[in-house]
Amino acid sequence: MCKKTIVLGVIGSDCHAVGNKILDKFYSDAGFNVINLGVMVSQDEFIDSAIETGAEAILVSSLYGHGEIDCMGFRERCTERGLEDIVLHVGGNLVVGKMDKARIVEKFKEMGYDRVYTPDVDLQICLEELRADLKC
Amino acid sequence: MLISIDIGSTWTKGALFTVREGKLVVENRETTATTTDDLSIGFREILGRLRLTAYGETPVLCSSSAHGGLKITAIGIVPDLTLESARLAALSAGGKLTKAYSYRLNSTDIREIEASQPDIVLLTGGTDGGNRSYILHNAELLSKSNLDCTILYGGNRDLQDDVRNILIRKKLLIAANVLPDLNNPSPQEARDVIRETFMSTIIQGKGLQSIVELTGSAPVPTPAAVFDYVTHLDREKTFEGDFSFIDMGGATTDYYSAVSPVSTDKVIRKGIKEPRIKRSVEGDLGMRVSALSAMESDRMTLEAEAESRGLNLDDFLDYLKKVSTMTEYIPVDAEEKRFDALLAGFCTANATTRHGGTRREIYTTSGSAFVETGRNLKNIKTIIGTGGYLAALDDDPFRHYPVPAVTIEGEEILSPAEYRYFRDHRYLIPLLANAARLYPKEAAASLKPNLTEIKD
Repeated sequence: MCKKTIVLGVIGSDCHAVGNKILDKFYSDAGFNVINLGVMVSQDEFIDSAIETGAEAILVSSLYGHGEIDCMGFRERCTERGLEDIVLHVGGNLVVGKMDKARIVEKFKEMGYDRVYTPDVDLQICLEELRADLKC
Repeated sequence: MLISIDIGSTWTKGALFTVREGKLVVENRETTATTTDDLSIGFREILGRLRLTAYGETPVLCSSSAHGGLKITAIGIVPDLTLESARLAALSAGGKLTKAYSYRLNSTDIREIEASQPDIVLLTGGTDGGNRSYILHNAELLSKSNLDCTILYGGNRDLQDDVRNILIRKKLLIAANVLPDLNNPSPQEARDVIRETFMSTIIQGKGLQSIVELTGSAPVPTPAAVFDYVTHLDREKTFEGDFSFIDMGGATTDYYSAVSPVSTDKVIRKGIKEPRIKRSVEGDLGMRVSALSAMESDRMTLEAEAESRGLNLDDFLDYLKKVSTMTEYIPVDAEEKRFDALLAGFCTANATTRHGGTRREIYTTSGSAFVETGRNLKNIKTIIGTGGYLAALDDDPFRHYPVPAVTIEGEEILSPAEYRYFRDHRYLIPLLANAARLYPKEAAASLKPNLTEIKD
């Protein structure tokens, strides 16, 4: 089992707590040391926590439609604060309205996220890809 | 019977207590000016006077805050996480924080620390199993420094052996991590080690050694005694609900509070978990030595306040300059009293704002909620003013200088909403705090009868 530390949270002013708790349980059961910051987490809170806990990945959720604005500049901020090698995953209802899935993935990859997930994804795939990214 | 003596930076105070019906009763109360070159002279004088009325074997307890207490430099990684936890540990131990450093130290920082001559360097960083690189870097730099004071390591547990090897030539002590995981700050062990260090190292010089010979134990730092006293008062449920002490002196304003967590689904908490008992120290807010630095902390607001009260601004500034060098100055006329009242209100309001947290309202799919940062003081039902000025002031400083409702950013300030204000009119709190080391229950029961409520 991979015991690496990961930071989890719902970004911005988003209060959706249920999915966050499911992800916490899912990744903990898979062996990860999950630092769950809960809802309404700012970019700096993710980064602060990753620095102190020595986390190797940050998993960002967003459900309320403002994900694009909240997630912008996160990769740059990580680099600026010394987390240049951190793995970034993002998932949820990332944009408002109907946008093509491929377009969403492309948009967030451009922003520097290593993996981008839409609501229809199988969590098992997320887990396998996280393990691949962390080489564990 | 017991004798309690507190050596402050200006006054040395003492009281002779008898234990009667579960309370400590003041039989005699004495004060003299602190003899800064040899603290034991003033101490002996007070002890001699109190012993005149004592009979039998009387234990003597002593606390001291002279010379500002124990100087601590705190080092952490993220300012709001491990560095904040290190601050909590240092302040609850009764220390004086000379400087705090986050992330990686550099050679300029090291020179600055060397020049400030701290008694203890508290090195923290990383949760258990967490960050390594910052701590190893900072330990390396400390190992190459000229520092010969105690270095206390209270960071990531995984690195204790590494840190021990790196700092092998230094006076190194190791305590449990102040932030073992992000949800549970644990400053207690580091705090206890700091206190023990205070006892064993600070007593050298300034006549404290002879006090140890007289009393059989080292004087405790006054703020540490008061911190423990707040803990006893809380445990004994002396006051209904949350309560706080504001101890305003010439140089600093200390704020102690006992606050129970309020948790509802409507509140989303941010930052590290608040401890039940907390002490904060504002080194730039005070009535004399810090009068000018208090003004500099928010000049615009203070000047606007002075003008709205019809005070002459130039005279006010001259007054602040004057008293900042005359530590024992007492106002001579009505105008100077108004200057002091304004300064006192400004300091108490700002100390409260800084001790407390803020919140903002947000709207969610399930109604409105609050995002809360820092300490919620809204449920404080009792505020007690102590320290020379507030002990003597027959008034509630907040009535004339209320804590602002919102910050500049528009966030609500979580200050006490409905409270009763009391003053420690005999200035007994440090003496009772000291006595609480032998009689915690009795000392807790003796506070209320010695307070005066300020009513409308």
